[in-house]
Amino acid sequence: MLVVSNLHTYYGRIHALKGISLHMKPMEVVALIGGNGAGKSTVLKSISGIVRSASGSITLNGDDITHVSPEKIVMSGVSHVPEGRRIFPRLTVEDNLLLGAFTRKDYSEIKKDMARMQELFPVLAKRRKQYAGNLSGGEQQMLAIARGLMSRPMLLLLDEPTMGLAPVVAKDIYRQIRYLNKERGLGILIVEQNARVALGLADRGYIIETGRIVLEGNASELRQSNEIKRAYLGKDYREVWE
Amino acid sequence: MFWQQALNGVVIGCVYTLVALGYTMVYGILGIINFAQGEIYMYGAYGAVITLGLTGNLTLSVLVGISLSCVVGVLLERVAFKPLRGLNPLISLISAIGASIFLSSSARFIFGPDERPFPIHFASHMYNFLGVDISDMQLIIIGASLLLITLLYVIVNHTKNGRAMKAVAMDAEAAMLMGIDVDKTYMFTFLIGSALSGVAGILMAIYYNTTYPTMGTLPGLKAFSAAVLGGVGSIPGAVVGGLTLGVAENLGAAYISSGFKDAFAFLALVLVLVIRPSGIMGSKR
Amino acid sequence: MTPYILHVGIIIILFSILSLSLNMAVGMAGLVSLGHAAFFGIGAYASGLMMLEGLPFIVCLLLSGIITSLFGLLLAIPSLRVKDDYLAIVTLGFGIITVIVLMNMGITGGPDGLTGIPQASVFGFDITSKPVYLVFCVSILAVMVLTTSRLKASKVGRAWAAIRDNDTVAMFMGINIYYYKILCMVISSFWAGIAGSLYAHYTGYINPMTFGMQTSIMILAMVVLGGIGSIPGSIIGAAALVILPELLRGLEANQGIFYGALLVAMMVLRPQGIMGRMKVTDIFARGGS
Repeated sequence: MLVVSNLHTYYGRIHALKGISLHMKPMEVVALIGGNGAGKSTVLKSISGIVRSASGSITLNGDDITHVSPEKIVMSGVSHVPEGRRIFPRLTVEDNLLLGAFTRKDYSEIKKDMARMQELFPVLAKRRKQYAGNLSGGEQQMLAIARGLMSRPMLLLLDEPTMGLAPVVAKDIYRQIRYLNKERGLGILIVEQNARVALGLADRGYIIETGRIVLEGNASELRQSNEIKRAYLGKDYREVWE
Repeated sequence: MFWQQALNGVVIGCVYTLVALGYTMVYGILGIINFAQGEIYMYGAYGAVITLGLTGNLTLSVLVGISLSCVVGVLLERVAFKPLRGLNPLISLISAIGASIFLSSSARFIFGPDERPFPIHFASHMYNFLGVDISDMQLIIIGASLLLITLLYVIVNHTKNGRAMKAVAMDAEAAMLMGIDVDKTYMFTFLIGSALSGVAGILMAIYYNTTYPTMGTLPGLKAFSAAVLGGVGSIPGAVVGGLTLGVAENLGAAYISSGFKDAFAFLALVLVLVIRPSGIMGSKR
Repeated sequence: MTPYILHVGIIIILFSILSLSLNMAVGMAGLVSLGHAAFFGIGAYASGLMMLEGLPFIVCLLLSGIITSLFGLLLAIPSLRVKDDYLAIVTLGFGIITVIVLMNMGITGGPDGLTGIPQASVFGFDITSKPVYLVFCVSILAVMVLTTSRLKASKVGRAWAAIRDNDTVAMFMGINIYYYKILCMVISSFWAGIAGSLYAHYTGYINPMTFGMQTSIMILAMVVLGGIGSIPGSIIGAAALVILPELLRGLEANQGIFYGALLVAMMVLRPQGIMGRMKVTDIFARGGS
């Protein structure tokens, strides 16, 4: 479905991505794992078109979307839920959801989707008329995901969806992500610093370091890799996830 | 006397409000002070006056005036602001000052330095309410302002474009991820702000029966003061600020000193910024 | 040299003093002002009035600098509360109010201004001839350049630089930002007052309109054009913007078309100015993302 090949991206003089290649099959969950500043978020921003890449290509279902505007990319079925949630704080929950459907014109379907989102995340129904900025961190993350789903994507890009959240809340969010993949058939590219969590969720994973992919493979293989255990997992990861 | 002066202040205050709304929207959404808002106002007035002189059709002239303001505003955004996006606001401010000088000098070059009266003379009826005289032109200014403010309120709060504007104001990158064309939203903002200033310019050209190249400078600066007074970025703030400034200025001129009339606005500006930088209605900067 | 060239030379030197004094605030301490011409005017009026009372020129020159720096102290108060574009607007308001006050006061002669300001003499030597006055102004500029570059390299200059880059961090570093901001405004306005005094005695006639918003904008444009924070830049910027209108003289009132377009083009194409090594964006980068 998604093929990124040999992508180079710069921020001013900083060479942020040094030839990233990755691919995703439909309905797959893929994790992108790496430390701070490795370039994980830049990969997502390049795919969603808010960062221009210098060379390389990104194709979605065979169509080249490398230098396509962000709004066209949203329309072609990619939705990016950014790091730090980035909900619109002084707009209501309902307005945030409506903005998620900004590119759509099928107003009656949008209404139905609004109702579906509130079923999926009941807390949003309760807080429909409140300012999004007054929601708790976990609720804001749910709103961010729901807002991302409002464009009816086939591919969801999730950037550190549980950052700064309590473990209980994080688990809840992962349950939703799994549900979206299994029941809705959504492809998910998830960026995480926490390899243990990400590999528990994903089918496959890529390890990224200073702008390069250094390792890739099935989630189960990666979990067994000694290198990963040492660098990213810590010794007690089994206790948490299995 | 007091109520008469207050009413005259409200009329001028309405005009300040219309221009202040342009400042406030541009600041709220792009984070820049469009110093050339007063010149957009002036071009609106000239557009109407010249078209009226040529065709004699008032409706057409008003439409041409507003359109000219919109064209100037949008070009301004493209040329003087868009390349500077993301840089310090001071750079945009100096660019805007340059644009303002350029626009008023160009107007002087194109239209000539002399004052032009409004081509149609409006027979002025006076009405009397409870001892206060009000002319029909004053009623038109108040009515048109109320209409436009309401219209703006509806656009911002109850349309898809309005929602997009608010989203871009809060977080432009997140708005992009929603599929909002941020460039188009900026242009739309300038378009609305310019149209409002254009209307203000035309109304004043009729009210004072004169049009000249620097007519926008002082009202522009005062409207900016009004926007700051109310809290830049806030639409109700611009209304409160504009009316307060108009009334205070007229009462100050009547009761304190007419020579210092223009100083009141700027004194208010300085005091508000120093004492309460967020303005009367503003929540935060 | 023809009197005309000498005249342009003197004006360039006066504006160099003004732009350098503003650059001290903008470039060294990050305090933006759109009302600098008001200090210029206060210095000119103070000096002119004192000379009309019969005080000797050199006393007037120094006193007008000191009087102006008191007004600088006054404007330092808002600079402690607001910054960047908002400070620019506060100073703009201050500049406009100053002109209106000068226009309406009896002692300042209202819109007509002051006439017959006696010409300058130093310890009995007449320095009114253009070549001598030019040399006098150049030597004052030299003193200013010398003290300013000394100041820039001193502890004070480093404190200003820290405040310019990030005043919150500067405060955490233990720098008394209030003291240094006030000091900056006081020194900056002192020099602007000196320039005003030199101007008043050069022309012998002053009126409020000379010290309005246009002049303030022009001084800021000189700073930006030359390069924010650069001492030679301020002088080059002043020279460029004094000579340019002279060259465009044939265009008369239409000069503004070129002048305005130049400002916009400068910001779009080279925001760091002619002599600037740093980008203005680096100097004024706003915190946060």
